[in-house]
Amino acid sequence: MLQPVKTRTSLSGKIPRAVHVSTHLTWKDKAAAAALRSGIGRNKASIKSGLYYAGNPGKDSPVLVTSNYRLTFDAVRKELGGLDVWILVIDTGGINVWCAAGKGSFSASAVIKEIKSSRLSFFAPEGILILPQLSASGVNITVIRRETSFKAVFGPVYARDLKEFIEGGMKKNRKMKKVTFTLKERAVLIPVELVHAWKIIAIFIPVSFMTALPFDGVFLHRFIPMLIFLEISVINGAVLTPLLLPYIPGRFFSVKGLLVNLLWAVLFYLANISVVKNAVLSCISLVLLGTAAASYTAMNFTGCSTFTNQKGTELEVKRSFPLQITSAAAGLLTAVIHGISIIAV
Amino acid sequence: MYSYPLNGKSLELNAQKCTGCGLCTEVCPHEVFAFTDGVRAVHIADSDSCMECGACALNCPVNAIKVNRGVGCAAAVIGSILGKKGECSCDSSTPCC
Repeated sequence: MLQPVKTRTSLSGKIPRAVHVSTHLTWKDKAAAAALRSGIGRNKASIKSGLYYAGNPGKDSPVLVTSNYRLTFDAVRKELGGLDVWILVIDTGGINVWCAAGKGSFSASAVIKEIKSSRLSFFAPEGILILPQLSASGVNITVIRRETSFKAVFGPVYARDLKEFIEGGMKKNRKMKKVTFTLKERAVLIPVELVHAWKIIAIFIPVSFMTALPFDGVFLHRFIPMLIFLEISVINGAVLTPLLLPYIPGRFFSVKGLLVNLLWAVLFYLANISVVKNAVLSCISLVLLGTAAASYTAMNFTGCSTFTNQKGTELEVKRSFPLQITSAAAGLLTAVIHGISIIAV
Repeated sequence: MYSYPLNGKSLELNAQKCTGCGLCTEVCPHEVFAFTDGVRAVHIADSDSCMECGACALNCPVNAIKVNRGVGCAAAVIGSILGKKGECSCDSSTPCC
């Protein structure tokens, strides 16, 4: 990924460095991206902050500013084929631009600090800083303009529009300004949601065992469908609700997850009447637990979305979380009562 | 296409102060602000799309915009209820954002 270093001796005798980057992603980059998307290798998710370059930039070439999250940096550099640009990487602790801006680590002072420590004025004294638009919730651009010698603009939301933006004289059209949340964008976020839900996925195995009792000749005919019902409930919240997000009724994500799972419960009941007709307590337990899980995992997707505000999310948690906990607790209790009643008999 | 409860509820624009520089329309990712022909000041065209990220208020050079800025993440809200530290309960060691 990183290639020879561009160095020039400054007047002070110290040698500022800028590192060349390739604009092509290798299979290693792609594998690392897939792993990160699945929650693996998070400790290797950041790259060193500092000054990088693509092509052969000069003293008046544009300076792209970005975060040091590996996926962000890769998303930027792969769009830079044929361009001569500097890339100023800010230390955001391996967090992407938007989240880092929200948390305050991608700020005007962080950008100014990096401009100084990387000696940007030595390499690109006349370069215009192009900040990612989504850094604007953390970066006050007036402060950068006032406290450094650099001109600064907010560029497009997405790295894929950088080339058009630069070649078009740094003008943004409507498309470049707008955040989207397409099916593909929602889909890439799903693996991490499933990883987050592993505790729920795991606990549903012993729970299904309990609801499927007694341990008789047809135990597996109850256990397997019951386990499938619960695990699909997690899928309903963590996968199906995110994928179908705009098409499911309800404004709270928890309500969307709930609705999807109630539909699933009805379908499951109709398909398995022979299995569940004599297991009323088990059925109650399954619906309470599965629906709590679907609602909860769906609610967690608010953090991935591009359109939820904090006060609304607080309201959603305040209304939904106690119900989810109560439903899950009641479901567990019902499963235990069913288990005890079988063993006692 | 998307909206969410309480979106844009805390967003306030002081049109008297607005100089019409248009920086808010440059930073808003949801086209909340718009200009009308012949009017200097910007106006709020779509507050229901406002996720209250705070980019407009932070960057407005004349402080004409107010909004309660925050991150709309249920995991962070639950994290803070459970006493985890930080604005967002996640840190760089966990696969959050």
